[in-house]
Amino acid sequence: MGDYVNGKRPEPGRHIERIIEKRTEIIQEVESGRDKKLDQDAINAIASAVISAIGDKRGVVNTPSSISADTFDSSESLSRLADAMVIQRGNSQSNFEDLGTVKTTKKDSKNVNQTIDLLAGLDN
Amino acid sequence: MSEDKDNDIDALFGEEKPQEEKKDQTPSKVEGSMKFKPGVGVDVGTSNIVVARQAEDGTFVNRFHRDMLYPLDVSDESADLLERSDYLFVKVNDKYYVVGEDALNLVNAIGKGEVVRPMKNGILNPTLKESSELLFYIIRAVIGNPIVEEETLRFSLPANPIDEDIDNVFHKMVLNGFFTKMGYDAKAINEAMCIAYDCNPVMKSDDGEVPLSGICCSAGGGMWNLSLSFKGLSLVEFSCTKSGDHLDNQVAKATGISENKVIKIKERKLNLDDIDMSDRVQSALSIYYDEMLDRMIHHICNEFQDKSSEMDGEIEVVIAGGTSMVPGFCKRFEDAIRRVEMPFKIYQVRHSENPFYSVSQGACIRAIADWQRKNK
Repeated sequence: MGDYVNGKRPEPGRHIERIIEKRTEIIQEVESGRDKKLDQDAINAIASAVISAIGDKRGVVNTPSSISADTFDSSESLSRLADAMVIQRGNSQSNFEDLGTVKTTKKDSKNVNQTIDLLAGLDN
Repeated sequence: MSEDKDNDIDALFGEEKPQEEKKDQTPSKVEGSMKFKPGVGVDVGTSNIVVARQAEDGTFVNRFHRDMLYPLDVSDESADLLERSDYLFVKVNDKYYVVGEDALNLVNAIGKGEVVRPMKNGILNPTLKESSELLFYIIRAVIGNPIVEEETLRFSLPANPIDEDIDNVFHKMVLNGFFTKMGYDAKAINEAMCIAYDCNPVMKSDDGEVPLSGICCSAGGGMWNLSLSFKGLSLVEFSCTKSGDHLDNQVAKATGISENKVIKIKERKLNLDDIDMSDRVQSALSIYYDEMLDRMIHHICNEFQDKSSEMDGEIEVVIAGGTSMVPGFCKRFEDAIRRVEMPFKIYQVRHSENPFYSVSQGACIRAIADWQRKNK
């Protein structure tokens, strides 16, 4: 068991009451100041002070970082992804260079060429 | 190639009807003497990788390889087995992976263990740590290098399924990266739309026949992919899981027979027009085929409901894919589709003349069109 603050065990729920009391005080302070109007000269003086303090730091522009999310929209980034997936290539081996069985089919060339021409005109 | 292998291939493709000519030869014999058009299509399926190119004379040359592996722990015994056999394998870390049809033969011969697949439900298998490594070895060996610089390539991509929380973005990017690294100008293409480009479904309207308009279904090992297209543009695409592999799994559970044996029976004996009801596996397969077809047709009705106004004619349904190659499949599909009220008038259900190659050939046709567009 750890030591209690001031050596006294807090009453159950007491810390919650304290927080509520504190927040109530803050709200009352804010609300009491709502009707007070700041003098325009005072506002201008505060604004000038803030501007001189931040100086050239105004107008911060975001610049691209050297590390950015990869959208995989270039051949380079896709190639990096492939490398990342084939992480064990160096330790792997196979006893084949060429795989597969071949079957040939014939189709009506006129129909195939018509389809190719139609598809060559599509965007996607 | 061994005699057994020839028999397996014959069994797998025995029911396919050639259009004019069909040959089964080693790659070097066929491809060595041919001149190809730039543009390659790749069907990256759960069960098979199929690569298509079109020769200058119009012939399509398809190379296929079973997307299946059998893992063996690295040991003196396994090294000796591989040395004395002609098995093709990849060694990754502490395992040998025997690739292709031999994986299925080996697991049946040894009688223990299971084959593993780099793909599951149409995308890279998330439960297999080495999936991308193994898949890339297979793809690289089947596809070969580009025949011209920046050759256009289209690879099939499943739509996101409506019955599983699976996203295809990672799969798409990994494959795109791999093909790009090989030197191709690669783009994904929806799997069902490949069938549209290969089979050209036609809509019959008052104004005449409208090409590349209709419903296309690709019944693969891991999933079904479906699309509704109009004049070559896709209006709706979706996919559903629980396809051919799911049938094998459920039948294995129901009958107590291993999945590998169920696959053999499905591919060699099953005829949906003539079920041997004394065979428990065939009976169970027949029941699960019916369940799958009813489920798919229910999804077609739901997903295409809102598009009925855009298709103002009678349309055609085209089916392809390895799971559709069982004899009698198309008739059962058509019977099931006639029993329900569809959002469109359907005048015909047509089986692709090359159901196993429709996706790769359609992707190839699109890649050739890309090449033409790029070099205008």
